[in-house]
Amino acid sequence: MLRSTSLFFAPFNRSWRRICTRYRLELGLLLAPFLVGATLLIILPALYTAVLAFTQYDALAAPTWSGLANFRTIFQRDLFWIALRNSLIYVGLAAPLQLLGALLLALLLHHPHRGVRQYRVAAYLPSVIPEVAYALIWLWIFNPLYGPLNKVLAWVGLPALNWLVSEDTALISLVLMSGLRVGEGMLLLIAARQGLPTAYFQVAALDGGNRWQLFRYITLPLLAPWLFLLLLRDILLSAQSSFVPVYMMTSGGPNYATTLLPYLVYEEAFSHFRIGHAAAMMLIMFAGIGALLWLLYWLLGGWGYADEI
Amino acid sequence: MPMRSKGYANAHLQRKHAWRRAWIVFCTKTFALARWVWSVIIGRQMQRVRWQTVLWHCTALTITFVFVAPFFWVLTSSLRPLGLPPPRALEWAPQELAWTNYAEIFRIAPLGRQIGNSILVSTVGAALTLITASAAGFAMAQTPERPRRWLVMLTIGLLMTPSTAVWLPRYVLFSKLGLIDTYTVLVAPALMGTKPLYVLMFYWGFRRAPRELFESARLDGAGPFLSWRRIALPLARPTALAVVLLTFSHYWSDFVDPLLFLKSAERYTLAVGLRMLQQMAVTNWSLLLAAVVVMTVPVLLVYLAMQQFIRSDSEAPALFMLRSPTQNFPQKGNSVRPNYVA
Amino acid sequence: MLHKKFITLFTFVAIMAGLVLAACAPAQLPLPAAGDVATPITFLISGDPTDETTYQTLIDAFGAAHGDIAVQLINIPSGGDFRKRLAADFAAGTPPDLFLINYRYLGPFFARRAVEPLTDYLAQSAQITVDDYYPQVLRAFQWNGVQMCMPQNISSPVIYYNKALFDAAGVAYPQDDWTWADFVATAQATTTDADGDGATDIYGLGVDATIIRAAPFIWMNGGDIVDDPAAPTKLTLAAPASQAALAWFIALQTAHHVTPDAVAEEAESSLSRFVNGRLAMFMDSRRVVPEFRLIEGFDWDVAALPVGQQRASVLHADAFCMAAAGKHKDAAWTFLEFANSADGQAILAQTGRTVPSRKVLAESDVFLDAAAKPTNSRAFLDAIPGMRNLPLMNGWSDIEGIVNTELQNAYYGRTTLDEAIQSATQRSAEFFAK
Repeated sequence: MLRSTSLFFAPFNRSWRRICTRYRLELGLLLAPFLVGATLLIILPALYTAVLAFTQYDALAAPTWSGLANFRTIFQRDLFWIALRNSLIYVGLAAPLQLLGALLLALLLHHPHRGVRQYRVAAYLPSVIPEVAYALIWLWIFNPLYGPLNKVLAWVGLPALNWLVSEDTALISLVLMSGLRVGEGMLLLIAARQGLPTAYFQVAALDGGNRWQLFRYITLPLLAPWLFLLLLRDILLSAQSSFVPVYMMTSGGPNYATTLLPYLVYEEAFSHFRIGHAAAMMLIMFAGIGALLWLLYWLLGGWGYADEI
Repeated sequence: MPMRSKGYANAHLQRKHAWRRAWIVFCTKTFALARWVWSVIIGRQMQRVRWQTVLWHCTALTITFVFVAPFFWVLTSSLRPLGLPPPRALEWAPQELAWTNYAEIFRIAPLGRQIGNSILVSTVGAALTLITASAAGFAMAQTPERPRRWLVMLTIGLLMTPSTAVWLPRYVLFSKLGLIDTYTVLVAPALMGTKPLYVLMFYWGFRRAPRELFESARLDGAGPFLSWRRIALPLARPTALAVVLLTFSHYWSDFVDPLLFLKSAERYTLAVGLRMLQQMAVTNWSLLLAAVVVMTVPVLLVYLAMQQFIRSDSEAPALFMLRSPTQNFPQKGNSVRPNYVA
Repeated sequence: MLHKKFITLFTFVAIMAGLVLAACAPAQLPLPAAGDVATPITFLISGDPTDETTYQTLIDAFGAAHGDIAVQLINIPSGGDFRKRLAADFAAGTPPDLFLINYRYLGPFFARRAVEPLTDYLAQSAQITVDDYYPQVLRAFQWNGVQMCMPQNISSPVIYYNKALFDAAGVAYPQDDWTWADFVATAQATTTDADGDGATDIYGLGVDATIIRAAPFIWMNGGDIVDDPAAPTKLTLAAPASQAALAWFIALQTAHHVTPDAVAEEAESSLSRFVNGRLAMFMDSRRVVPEFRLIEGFDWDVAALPVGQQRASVLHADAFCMAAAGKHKDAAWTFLEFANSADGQAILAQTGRTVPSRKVLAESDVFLDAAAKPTNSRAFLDAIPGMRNLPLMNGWSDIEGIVNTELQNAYYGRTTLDEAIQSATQRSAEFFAK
């Protein structure tokens, strides 16, 4: 305890300060815009919202304190549990799918073949498309009668699916469409894969390792920290980025099959003016994501770069 | 094991292999033919190509086709003449190209004005973000151990904050500051590097840069500001490119902020314009997809321009990277497992 | 030295953009100055560009007479975005001085006294008096007997029909006294599979599976949606008369297959089908008229809803509301007064989108113009005597959302009607309690 406190205050003790005052001042100046901006635009607003979670507030009249009433109401409502379940399914499928997609693409496209750059640009293309446009594109691709996806299925000889129309496939459709946006992960993993020393692979190949063994015992363990970092990022982003597709494509339907938490929060706040409820849900969501990340961190035994973070 | 299941499996496998072989042969022949034609055209001797390379190209082509196909279809469908009945069968290309669709969307919505606004906001936003995010990322990387950890944790916490949580309070804040209905309010997030993720990207990048570089600069009397400007920023070029692209695309596609914080329609951005078109042209996919193309192409151009700034293949993977990650692993003994697993 | 170029480029761009911002932004800002500057009021609407142009025309006409008031029009095209914006505006304490909104969303605003009561203003007004308006629409904007907003239109659902498809099927055009059975028979006769591939190409009818569309049929059958329209405490969709009407409504899809099923509706909306000449009848309010007037391929008209045991219709209306927290209420009232005067409503009626809420204007040539489609505009006026409105209450947006979802489940065959009604009744109970 003593050691850790002294460590914590080490940068602030007097001799260090005398040498470094100017240096630290400049560091502070570099950091200032971010800290000021984050405080003004995220921390204070988020804290304000967190407080609203314990009030009845409808934007029309001043908030009134209601303690934990919002949480009790939310937990009693089926829709919250449906949205929670859908969100967990979405994140549980989308994040691994994106990770897998990025990994496979990276393994394919890290070879320095001629034209590889064009392939990379092509694979990155869906990640560049603005998300509003991306949602519209897929709304059209998923069109059950006239969309290209079902036509391709028919062309190949497969039965058509109802995609966003059917309760069973609507959520999966959203997962699928997020599965093509893996460009950033792919670039990251290509970089990581190219950084692996070729000596390992040469030695292993001499020892008679086949391709699968090379991948299983060399590539995968060495890429693990990157994969982990990417998984955390994908979980974080897919937990939140589902709003635009749901808002623009399905409005939460059919029969609540695509009602995810961010959309439910939005509906509560802005369609029904129950901002207190929405804030409580956001608090739960925040805690949930935090818990999920912590669980992963704990399960996988650290950040992989504990010294770097 | 019963015999019939084995037999069945065999037949199944044989069929599968037959297909695979046929596919490989087809690809190889096509590729060889194309190479031969090309070598004749440019008048150069053919080099031998290993069949693995051909196979690789086939796979890469097939897979990247999946990624390009959606946009390809959007492009062709946006050129489908208005008033045609919806297509019954797969159309790889429309029978006639109705370029007038593009003129039409510019007629029914003030897209020109909105594109101008979007370019203004996205460019300023991206440029400011580049400065603030890289400065913050650099300063974080140079901060001593303990406060640094807190800063990183804080940033990750910020990353977890749902954007819905900040809409209302931000509106209140901006109206108190009298910033409602100005462009400033749209680029305000650039003050904090737009998204905490971008700061983290720079931070991770700088953490992986050789530390001796900054140490020696510091010993030479260079302050953090100078190190950031002269050493760090040029070093972080790949990350910077990635962040610029992501930020540009963020401001380009953001439709919530303009809708909430603007009052005058003449300041609306293209994303809002697309929302309007979606309300208006629900009956007309050709027009809507034309608008989607108009919305996407500028970001695509920025992306391709960013590509031009990349000097070598090793720089292409821009994200997070300045140095190969394996250099962080202990390379003692025969173990190739990273240390954290133990 | 590419990286230097890169940094220089961005510094340059940043500086340029900064300059542009600095140069443009202040110049475009309406600077509040002392003295003779006009009182600025904001007016929030949600509509398409046609609406925006129309309201701008109204504002310009107003500006010609009232130079001392500057009205700023804010149009948020999508209804969902509009409500978000409204909530944010109210939360920040800077609500729009005036906003145009449907009565179904007004419950929370009335309950929180966020809207300025108009009694005093109306009493002093020389230009407008409540007697000029249809009482059926005034009623929907009263809270505890006090007039809160001034209705701009009195619309209701009618049956739009494609004359060409009726002729092709050899079906007579709808008469004013057609019955539910006639309606179903007509829809069946016009539903066709033109190319004989087993898939329906032309549907007889398009209708949203929502409570606001089903409501008139429930009322016509002698049923009701809630137990007490003035002070509702629960849904009464399970009552025999209501249930029978809903069963008939749902049978249009599940038994008769005369309306597009879930897949067909998602693939192409009924609205689009009608515009493109592939839907014989379409049920909607007056708002689609401007878009339908652009149709060139065929002739169309409107018909009254088919009659059940009695005549009934459901009100669709938007009204001008003044925010109680507005800073320029007198100026806002002056504009509201103008917009709802005979001149103002005449401007708004020109697009064909509205059914004027002023009796004299609705009965005049401005609305019943024989030269403009639909020829049978009188159908909208004929519906007024039997017109009722959906409940005006705090939790109505929740209840309507729940009922619509369950109704769609039944309509598209995902559940039975009884299950849907039971689920809707159960899930909506908590929102009546408040």
